[in-house]
Amino acid sequence: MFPKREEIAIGVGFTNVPTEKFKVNRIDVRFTVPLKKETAAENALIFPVAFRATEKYPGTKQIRIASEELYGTSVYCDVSKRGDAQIISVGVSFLSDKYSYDGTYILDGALSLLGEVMMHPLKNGEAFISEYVESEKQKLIDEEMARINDKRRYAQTRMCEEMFEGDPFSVSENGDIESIKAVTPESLYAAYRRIVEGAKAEIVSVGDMDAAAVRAFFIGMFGAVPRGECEDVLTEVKKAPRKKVKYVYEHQNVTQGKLSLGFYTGIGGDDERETALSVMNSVFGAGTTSKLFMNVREKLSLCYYCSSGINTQKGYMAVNSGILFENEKKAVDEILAQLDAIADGEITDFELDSAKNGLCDRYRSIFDKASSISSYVYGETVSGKLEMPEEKIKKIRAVTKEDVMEVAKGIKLDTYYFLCGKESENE
Amino acid sequence: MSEIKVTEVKDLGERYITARHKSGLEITLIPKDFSVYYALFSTRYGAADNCFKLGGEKEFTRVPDGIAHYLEHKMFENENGEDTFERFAKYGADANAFTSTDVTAYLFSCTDHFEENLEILLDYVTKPYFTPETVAKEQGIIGQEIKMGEDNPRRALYYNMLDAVYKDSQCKLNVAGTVESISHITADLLYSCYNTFYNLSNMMLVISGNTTMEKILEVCDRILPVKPPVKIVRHYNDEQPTVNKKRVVAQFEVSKPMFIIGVKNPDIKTSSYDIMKQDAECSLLFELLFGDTSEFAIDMYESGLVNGFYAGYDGGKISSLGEIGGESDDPEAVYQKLVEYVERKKTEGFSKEDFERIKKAGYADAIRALDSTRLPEAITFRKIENMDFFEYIDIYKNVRFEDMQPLVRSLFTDDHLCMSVVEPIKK
Repeated sequence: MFPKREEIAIGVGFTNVPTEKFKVNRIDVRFTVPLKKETAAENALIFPVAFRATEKYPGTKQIRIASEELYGTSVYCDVSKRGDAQIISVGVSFLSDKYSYDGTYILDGALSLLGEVMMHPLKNGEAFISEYVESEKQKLIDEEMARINDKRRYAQTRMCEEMFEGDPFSVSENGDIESIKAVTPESLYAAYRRIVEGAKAEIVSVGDMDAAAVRAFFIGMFGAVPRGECEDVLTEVKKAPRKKVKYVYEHQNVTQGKLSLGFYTGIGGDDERETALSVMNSVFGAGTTSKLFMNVREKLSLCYYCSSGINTQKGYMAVNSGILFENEKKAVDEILAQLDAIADGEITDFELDSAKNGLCDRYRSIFDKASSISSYVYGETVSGKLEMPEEKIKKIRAVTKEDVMEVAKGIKLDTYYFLCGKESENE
Repeated sequence: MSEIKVTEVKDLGERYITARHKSGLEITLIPKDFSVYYALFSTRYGAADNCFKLGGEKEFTRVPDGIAHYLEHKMFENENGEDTFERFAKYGADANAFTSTDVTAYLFSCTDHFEENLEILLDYVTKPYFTPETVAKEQGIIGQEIKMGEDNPRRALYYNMLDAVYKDSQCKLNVAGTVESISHITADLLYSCYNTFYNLSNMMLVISGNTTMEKILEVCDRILPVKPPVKIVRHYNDEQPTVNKKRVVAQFEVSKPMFIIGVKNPDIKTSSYDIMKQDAECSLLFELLFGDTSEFAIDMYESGLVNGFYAGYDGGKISSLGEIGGESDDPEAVYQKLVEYVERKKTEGFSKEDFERIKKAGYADAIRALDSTRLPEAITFRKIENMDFFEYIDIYKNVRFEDMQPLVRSLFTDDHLCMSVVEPIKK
């Protein structure tokens, strides 16, 4: 049974997942807003700034001391994207009261610490403190600039930007540097109010704690702000592949090339073929028995890594590989040949079974980790699917070789990105 | 019959079971109510063990750098041509391996067919099979892995720090070796290393999950060969007490300079208790000096001088050192501030209240590790040097406040400090 969700304020859902498996509990609050170039940067900055100082804890040091007093209770914030939505999350993770050795009530303290940073950030009229705003802006700019440090991730991100040029999904969850620079203490405070007063929110608590107390706490929290109607965020699935593949070559001082290929799958949202697609992806390029690993890496020694991943919000698949510059054509030919092989039905029982086993294994392990329970329950809630891992496993078991061939046939190369050192021969 | 010992750790609500199999293998089981089983089969053998002999032999054998890691790669091949990953995939397990300075570990995680998977793990690691052809083939793959590492500024930053701290110690060696050093690896050399270090008396098996020691021993009885134990004599180079170089600077395509300040502790302990005590004391000292609530960390954060500031200590039998790192536009200024700050702390001392609070947070961190499905890793890392994970938590809780000030005085002298910097390429 999927855990019960309750609407505790306008647009605010609360789901408690009780479990005694863990010594550390967690509560996550995720706000969902449309991902837009104009607002992404300010949304990303809200909680880093709010976390700097609150009415009760006027500085970083006081907040951190409070965390340590509560047995290393940690409050954290993050931004990410899910399809065309920007997810702004805030949360707290804390030791179960059982392990307190000096009589401290950790749950009470953890909730009030979270309440402080979420609802009582230090402000100056209708603006945040400009010193904190400027310093967090600089950090976010540095973080965006630092994307070039990790070449593997950089290539993947660049490919997505190229593939979804002009689409909300091409916007970074941190916004771009220009819009980060444009944020002011006033505009940021206005953004903060828009989020806490008007963004859809989902609260998920996981662990061994007094759920009634947690529920009451959040009813009080959201009851204290004027909640208005919330905007729904809809994600548009990629409708068709490009007629002509988009080629992008980028040159940097690197010794190994990073290839990232974007494929159209067209499968996203409520598409029933989603399970077949994840099995197909597993046969193709996820894990050590996949065709890409066994052939491109093991048999032909063409790369150090070569794997595929799917995105079922936007309907695309990415293949990423680290190769020698001169192996570019050989590697790409082999990757495409392996995809064709699947479409042609060259799938052994062993390949299909291990792909399914690998996927089932992943679903079974979700409930072994509090953070993965929280994000799984959140994902199922916002997608409206509300399936437990066992139901996913049943669906995976039912996928046939023909289903896999069918989805593979619909997959088309759309965007070709290569990060290389010198001029490529194919350019 | 192997003797089975059950240890209850009441305060932490944990229980673990140990046994020594007749083959000499040490086994630890931490029963967990998880869907995931995790098994780690490791040998006390890593990149630093490049010079050794067996008890009774006259001459030491010097082997090419990177051979332990190379051997790890080659263990995945079997005489009958079967692929190890495929064997695991059949039972839905996710298999992997890693090599570091002092350990080579083979692992799998699964949610089903635990005993079948354990059988595969024990089987392939105890059956080496190399031929000149298969050994030659690996040069390409590992060569790519080394090249990929060369492009990674963080890796360069870390190894350059080790190079600054250590002059002769093997702990500074790159785990994968160099393209040149691995070209000297032969099948015979691999067998020689295997026969020395993969004797079961030098190995350990650590498992977590919902199983019993009886079931584990039953698989061991079936699979493990019983051979006479060996006595391994390892030659570790003498190391000078002072740092090797004050600065190592490299240029990479990064957006902001990165730095690690190394703190060399020349006092290398031999008994496992002393190693743990030193590690616990120095770790607590580092938390006091540079932890979240320290004056220094707050200053670095609020002034914006350092992004992603971190500090940590790691004490072992061949190396014992502290690291302080992050990204900064002016690493020299950070270094200077750090020296002044530590000098001040040497006379000023610390607050007992801070010490107790930090210890509480540190204790909570150790408990967090117990929630992880990868707990066997943390236990193995202690066991490499015959240390006990739970005993360490106890030693940590008992570190004395009075020992902190003398420690800061002896550890932070000018000749123990150095810095590695990676800066952006000057255009």
